[in-house]
Amino acid sequence: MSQYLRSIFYISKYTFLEILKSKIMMNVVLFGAFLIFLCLVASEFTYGVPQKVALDIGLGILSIASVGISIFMGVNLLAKEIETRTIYMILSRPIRRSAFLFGKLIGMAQILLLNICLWGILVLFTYYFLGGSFQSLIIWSIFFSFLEALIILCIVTLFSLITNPTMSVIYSICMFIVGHATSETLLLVKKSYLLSKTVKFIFIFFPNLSKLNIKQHVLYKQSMSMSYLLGSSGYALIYILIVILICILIFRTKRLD
Amino acid sequence: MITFKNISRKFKNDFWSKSFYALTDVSFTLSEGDLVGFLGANGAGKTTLIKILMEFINPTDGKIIFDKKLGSNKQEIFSKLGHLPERPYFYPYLTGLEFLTYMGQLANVPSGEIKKQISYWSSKVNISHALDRKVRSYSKGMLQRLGLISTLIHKPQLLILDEPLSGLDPIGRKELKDIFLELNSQGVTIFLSSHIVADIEQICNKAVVLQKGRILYEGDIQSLLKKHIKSKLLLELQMPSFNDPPAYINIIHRQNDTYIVEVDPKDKNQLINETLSNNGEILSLNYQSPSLEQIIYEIGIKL
Ligand SMILES: Nc1ncnc2c1ncn2[C@@H]1O[C@H](COP(=O)(O)OP(=O)(O)O)[C@@H](O)[C@H]1O
Ligand SMILES: [Mg+2]
Repeated sequence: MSQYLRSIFYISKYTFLEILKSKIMMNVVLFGAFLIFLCLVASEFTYGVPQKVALDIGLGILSIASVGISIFMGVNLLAKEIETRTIYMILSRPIRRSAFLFGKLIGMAQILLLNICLWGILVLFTYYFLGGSFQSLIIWSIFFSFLEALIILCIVTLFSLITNPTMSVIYSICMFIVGHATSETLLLVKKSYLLSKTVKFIFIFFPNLSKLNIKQHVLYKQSMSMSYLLGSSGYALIYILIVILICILIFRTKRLD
Repeated sequence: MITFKNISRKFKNDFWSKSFYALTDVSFTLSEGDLVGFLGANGAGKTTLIKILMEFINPTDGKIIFDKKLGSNKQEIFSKLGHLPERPYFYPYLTGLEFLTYMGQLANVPSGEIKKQISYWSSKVNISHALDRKVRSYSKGMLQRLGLISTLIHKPQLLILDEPLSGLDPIGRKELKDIFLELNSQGVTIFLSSHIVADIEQICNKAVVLQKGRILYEGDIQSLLKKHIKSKLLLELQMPSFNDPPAYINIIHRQNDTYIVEVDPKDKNQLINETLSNNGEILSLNYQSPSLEQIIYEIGIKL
């Protein structure tokens, strides 16, 4: 078992290092600068309280950009390893395929965390600069963006195990959109009992990402119960675990050629 | 050490096309201490068989049996085995040193030993100077060397190498071949694929020849060569006056007073005597031995 954990550790370490040293990180930093610029411009040129506008735009872009990075990394997680044959170098060592998958995912999750922390700090900084005051819900919102990006990372990985890169990107974006629309759709179909049951059943398979979207509450300084916040986090983690489990089941017997 | 038993592998190029066999009923055994050349033209199925051996893909039929000595489960077996894939490529943004360290760590080599092995092998294959550079700046030959070190870093007992000599210049090929011989003399079993017969003929003691997914020949190289040695001798001689050539010789080539003649071994002394007594000179005397390449070509045609 300790050997299993050790190989996960090494794989995640070098996955992290490899991405860190690639050009992606340069873009991340540039994008951060662009993000501040956008917040400032928006708060200057729109009606409304400047710091609120900055926070709204900042958090919104942060979550979209994180999902974008997730899709980009996730689609490359296996496809590129197979294409460049680097996966053969790893899997010819005494390690299990599941360790490889875990290691890769954890390495990429670390990259995501690093990005989101960096952007989050920039957004918070701009918010303070414009006179905003601290509330813990902002941190929760940023954390939820991280969870959301993780969910998408796992979903892209799952799709890339069963279809080609282009289709997995498209499917994942669909999952993302539907995942955000679940609550609204459920409200719409509430009138018909049968329809609402069916839709509810279908939505079990989609991640309920609207659970993780608490920007409105942040903006209007509504407090949220701890049980909601913990419940949403728990939901996200369970969803992630299940997707990873399915990935491992598929990857264990997947043909690598 | 490893037994391939009736391995077949079916492929389908796309959904609509007919499936075909990339490997058909391939059986042979790799014995401990052998240096085996795995020969076959491009597309013969060498890489496919190696992928099956490494469990990257499954065979359609048949199975691979590992000797108990290697271990009883995949983890144990794979920690005693080094594999270099065809045209290896590595994480482009890691340095050579980082990559090698990574590979050593995955094979559970202690860190002191990793450093020792890296410095030993990198100076041996002349790549020490490049270890601090990112892999993306490496040439094809350097990648091949880096890949070789990564397969040796955990001191495997068995090496499975897919076209390890391709992409190297003649000097590089020689260096690597010497390393294979050295490792083999230390008891490492080596299975290396190649589509170049001469390389295999030089260093291997056994060959497995694959043609269109079927085994053409499997066994000793020397005995294959001996079996195909032509029974005639070739003599090159100089004769000022060779007016009346004896009946037992066959003149193959003549240029002025230099002749190349074919003769039965039992008649060679007589020919030599005659030549010398006619003030002639023997320039060379050889067995007509075809190269492994010619032999394989001939066997291939017969089938
Ligand atoms: N994944 C695959 N799908 C379809 N055909 C394949 C696949 N892999 C290999 N082949 C075919 O199998 C044959 C053997 O290929 P390969 O093992 O790579 O040959 P070699 O390594 O001897 O050059 C070739 O005809 C190749 O096109
Ligand atoms: Mg090949």
